[in-house]
Amino acid sequence: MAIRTQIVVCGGTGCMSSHSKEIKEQFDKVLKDLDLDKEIAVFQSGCFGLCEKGPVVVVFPDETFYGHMTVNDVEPLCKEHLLKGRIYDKKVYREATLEEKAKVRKFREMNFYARQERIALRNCGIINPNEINEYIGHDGYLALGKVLTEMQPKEVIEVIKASGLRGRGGAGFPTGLKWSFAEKNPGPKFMICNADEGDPGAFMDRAVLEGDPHSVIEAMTIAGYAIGANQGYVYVRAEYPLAVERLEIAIKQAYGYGLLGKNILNSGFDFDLEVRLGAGAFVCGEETALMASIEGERGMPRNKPPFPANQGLWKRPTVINNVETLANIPVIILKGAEWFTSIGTEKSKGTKVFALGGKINNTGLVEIPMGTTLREVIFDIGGGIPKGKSFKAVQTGGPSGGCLTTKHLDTPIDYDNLIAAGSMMGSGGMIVMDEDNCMVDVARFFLDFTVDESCGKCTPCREGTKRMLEILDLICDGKGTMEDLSELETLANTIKDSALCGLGQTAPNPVLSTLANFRDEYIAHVVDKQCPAGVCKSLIKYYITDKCIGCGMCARNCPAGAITGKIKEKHVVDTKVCIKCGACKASCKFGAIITK
Amino acid sequence: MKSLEDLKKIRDEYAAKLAMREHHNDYHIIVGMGTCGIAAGARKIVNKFAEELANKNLYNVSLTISGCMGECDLEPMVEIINAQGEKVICVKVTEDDVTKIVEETIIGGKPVTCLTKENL
Repeated sequence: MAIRTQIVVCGGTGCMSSHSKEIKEQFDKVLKDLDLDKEIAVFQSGCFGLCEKGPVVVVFPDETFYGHMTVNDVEPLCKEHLLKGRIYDKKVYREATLEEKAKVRKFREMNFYARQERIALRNCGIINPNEINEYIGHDGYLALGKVLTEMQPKEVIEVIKASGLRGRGGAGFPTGLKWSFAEKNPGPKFMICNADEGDPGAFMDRAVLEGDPHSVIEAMTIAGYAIGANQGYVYVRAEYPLAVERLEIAIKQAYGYGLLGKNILNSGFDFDLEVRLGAGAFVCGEETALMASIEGERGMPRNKPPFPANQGLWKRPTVINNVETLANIPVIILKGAEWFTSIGTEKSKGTKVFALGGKINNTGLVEIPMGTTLREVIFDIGGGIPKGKSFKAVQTGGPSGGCLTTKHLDTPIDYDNLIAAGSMMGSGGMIVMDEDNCMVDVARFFLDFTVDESCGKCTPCREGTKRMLEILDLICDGKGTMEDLSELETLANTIKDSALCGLGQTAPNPVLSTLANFRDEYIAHVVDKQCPAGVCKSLIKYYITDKCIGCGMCARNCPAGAITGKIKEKHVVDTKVCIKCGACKASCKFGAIITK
Repeated sequence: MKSLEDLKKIRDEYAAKLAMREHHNDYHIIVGMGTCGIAAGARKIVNKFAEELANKNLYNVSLTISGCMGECDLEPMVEIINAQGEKVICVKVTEDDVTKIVEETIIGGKPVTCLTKENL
């Protein structure tokens, strides 16, 4: 019997953590019970991107998108959708607005997907990552075949150069140029994939490795051929067990098919690939620290030059590319540089994947053409801010980036525009903040992260960021002065100019950008000793307003016994006893408790 | 695997399997699977379609099922929509009709010549 329907259960880390594996097993069981197992196939894919709705199940060819699935939904879904042809209404995805809600949309036509252009994520959610044949079925390894049989290494580099592809790991260095530097040097050379994704909130590299590991393997082999390297390493953090597992399965399958190893496709070109696990230090995403880590040394950066293309791993010429950069390579080879340059802006070609997080309705991964505005990403694709709150800022580029505000919403996103606006592309984390976020606290959060992750080799980063954090702590405690603000700025600029590697050079960015865009909030903390967003605990006090009906709920929930009052009369908070935990505010059904 | 040809062979075989997950609009076949449809044998019809399409390597067709189409005494009913959005609803479809529809219309591009409500 032929297969009439295919069911894809999302197998990304997000959905897996909410039991998508059990859901898949339940599908297997129920389909067997309903005698449908010979006409309907089920498999697990990589990440679909709309992680907010996870666990996700998509039914093909109907393209029906089901979100928030549970094991108990599987049987009714099978009976309704697969046996009787009716949409399982309880879990089907509908758009948020009333007029759009009426009709169930195919998943590629949903607001979230329709505006995206998926190149790096082309196979994520569509193919089974543990099945090399499915990757080949989507023209996988054909680019490698084309390169090995029809092209000279120099021609490959020319195509990548002409495509204008720039590194997706953050700095945006032209990939073709990097390759050409290494190509000129004598061998042996090495090819490294940087999968040490450490930005809080960013997970596009993980999604590619989990959903489409073969695209990285293919791209690395192409790069190895282009630069003349016969050995490749994928440096991935051990915190990504699923990505490591799928990558290792994929490497094994590629060896089995002779697409890695000796004499690939009878071309005489050899390429070996190994996985190297990192322990999760943020600094190991910096290329020189990464290479030190592969060599078995402590992961610390060194001075550049010499650049890795001249002296890299074991002092040999080395090219290091980010996962997302590599995922673009096979498509560029197959469709040509001209096609790729037709997407994006003048200086930033192609697409970029962003990890949307924070106060946004559609948390997840989006891949958009360069030049899309922040407004489109946050409001059209991301679905805007939850609970009707207003947008305040968006943090791009993780701990190295900066906060952008409403005035930047219509800026087209590309490398240069983001830097001009005082932030950076980074690896593509995008954390959205609403009116309830205190910008001083946000700056402190990111700085706290870099202080933790500083390797300690150079003084500006080791000591400077620590001093900055102390000043921010003082400000949040209401003990800051105006002199502290200028001290903070001086320190930030000094660290920016003098730190050894990218981590230190960009660590002050969150502070500098919030100082520039939200100076009034800093001043409120320092001068008025107030936190306008009501986040910094030392600066807020809880009050009960006249809305109080005297139900006593707050008093019962207060762990410190700070609330007193008679039943049916207004209660009061003793601010000397109050520990500012917020339990009273959360328990009040009448909105009578406010922070000032 | 020793050559690009071997690779392309696998590609062709699996591209077919993956086609169901693509967005395609050439033909859309909808089989009514309400209780009435099932009772009249619609599940056999939908599986026959799936088999015919797979055997003849036709991957430009999206085959889905729907609930009751409303004329329960005429089941099994099949709606066929072409790329231009023109619809024909076939009634009292048999397995032989399925073969005919696939050969004449999907492959041959001719109009559907099955039993309809009008020519019954």
